[in-house]
This record gives sequence, C-alpha cells and structure tokens, in this order.
Amino acid sequence: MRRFILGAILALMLVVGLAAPAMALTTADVTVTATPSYISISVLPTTNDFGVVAASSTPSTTTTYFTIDNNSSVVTDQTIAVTTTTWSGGVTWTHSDTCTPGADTAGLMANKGGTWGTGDIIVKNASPNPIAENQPATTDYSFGLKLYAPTSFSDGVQKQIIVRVTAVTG
Amino acid sequence: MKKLIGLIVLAGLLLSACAQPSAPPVVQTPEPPPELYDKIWISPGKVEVGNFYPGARAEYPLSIHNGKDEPAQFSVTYRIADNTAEGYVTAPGAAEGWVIIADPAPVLAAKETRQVLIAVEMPKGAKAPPKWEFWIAVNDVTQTGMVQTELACRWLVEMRR
Repeated sequence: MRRFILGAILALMLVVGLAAPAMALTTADVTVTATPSYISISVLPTTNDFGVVAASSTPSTTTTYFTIDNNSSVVTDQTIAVTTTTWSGGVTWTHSDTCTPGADTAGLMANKGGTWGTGDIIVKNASPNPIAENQPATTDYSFGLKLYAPTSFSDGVQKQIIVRVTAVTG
Repeated sequence: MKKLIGLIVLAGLLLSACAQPSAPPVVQTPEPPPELYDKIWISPGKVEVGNFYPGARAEYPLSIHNGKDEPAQFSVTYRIADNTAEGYVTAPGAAEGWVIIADPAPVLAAKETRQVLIAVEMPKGAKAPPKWEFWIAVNDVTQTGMVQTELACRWLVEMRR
C-alpha cells in the first residue's frame, strides 16, 4: 500500500512538473510576433550646395532633386527631419522648427515632387513631419529642399546641417 | 508516512515553481528578395508584443543587411516614435531604459546580414499605457552627405489586462 501511494505521488509530480510550463503559457507568457518584411530606402544625390546665399533669400532645389530609392517590401511611413538644432560652421545658425528666419536663424522646407508653395513641409528637428505617408512598397519618390536664409549673418563661413529621411512600416 | 508525503508534495511544488521560461525565439535570418542583395535593409519592420506586464521581458532579433561593397558601421538605437500605429501612444519616458540592444554599433562586412537582439525588460512596479510604441532605428553611420536615410522597426507593446 505504501509503495502504491508513493508511486502515485511520484507519477503525479512528474505530470505536474511536465505540464507546468505549458500551463504557465496560458496565464503569464508574453507573446512576440513579427511578420517578415524588409525596410529599405536610400537617397541620391546625397548633397546639395545652395551656394552663396543672401540674407532673407530662399534658394531651393527643384522639387524632384533628391530621389528616395524605396525597396521596402511593405507600405511605409516616411518622415523628414534635421538631426541637430543648429547649422554647423563658424557662428552657428539656429534651426527654426517653424521655418521662421531671423538673425543667424534659418529654416528649411521640403516639397515632395510638387510645386513650391503648395504642400511644402517644414523640416523640423523635434517631432519630424511626414514626407511620404503610406508610401507603397517598392515605389520611389522625389523631393526638394528650400532654404529660408537668416535675415542677417554674423559671418560668411559655410554652414551645414544634416537632413534625415526615416522609413518605418506604415 | 505523512511527513514523507508532505515532503514529496512540497518538492514537487518547488520544482514546478522553478520552471524556466521558454528559451528566446530562434529566428532564421530571412531570405530577402534578390534585388535587396546590394541594398541596406532591416527586417522585420514591425514587432508586436502581447500580454506584457511589469517584470516581464520580450525579445526579438533585428536583422540588418549591409548591401555595400565595403564594411559599414551601423548605429542601433532606441527612438521615440515620430508617429504611432492606430490605438497606440508613444512609449513612456522611462521606456528607453527598459530597452536592451545587444550590439548598438555593429560593423558589418560587405553584403553581410547580422542579427542584433533587441529586448524590452519592464521593471516590476513600472507603469505604462495599455498600448504603447517605440522604434528601433538603424543608421549607417558611414553616410556622409547632407541628406541621409534611417530605417526603423516599430515595436508595438500591448499590456496584459
């Protein structure tokens, strides 16, 4: 009798022990899922020189100057931003997130293949704006940039800022 | 006899309580379309975490491919979402400290694909909205131009109710 009870208890322990992880799945386990997809964009050309700019001028590229080669396998949302709050070089320029030029303060606009003045997008540092929402998979697009030069300069040193386009699943 | 039975039952309960969580997911490096061989790409584009709770951990490897003909260094960083998926809000400020990136600065050889493990570990007692989102951003830091590109993976986290 004693052996029988002992055997029964051991069998019960084995069953409980084996089943424990499976039971835990239904109560506590975190689920992680990912659908296979590829996010891939690149840009050409990567540079533009606005040349010598006058105070309060607004030199621009064409609105199709930069092309985003989009090889993403899914619909993407793409945003555009500058990566810093200032333009580097000599006396730095403050970057205006409202595209309001001032003394040593500049702004940037982008336009996705349209006409300047229609559908322009402010290129900000904080809270980037969308440049291509629901961009279809494997579909390229182009855009241009327009500088809003400062109303006055402290020096004539060349200035630079990096513009970044970010792609994420839409 | 009663003591023996009691001890055996206690041992069984302890063993059950010590059951280890399941091993991290083994994820095959995805086979990309041939046209992506000479491109830089990341995969997947979206990771969804469900049934999450304070004290829990979730992880998934992010594949990064260097399609260039020379080695390239990448930065893999936590990023506040520029926009969120429907029903989700941006992650709480503390979430950046919950995300672990196994290799935040991988250097990939030409045409190499590598997996970087991303984990989110929410401390016990921490608070978060029911559905929150953060991004993992991948930058090729060898880019030199005025206009650069960045690839991001959405992490959508839904808390256990």
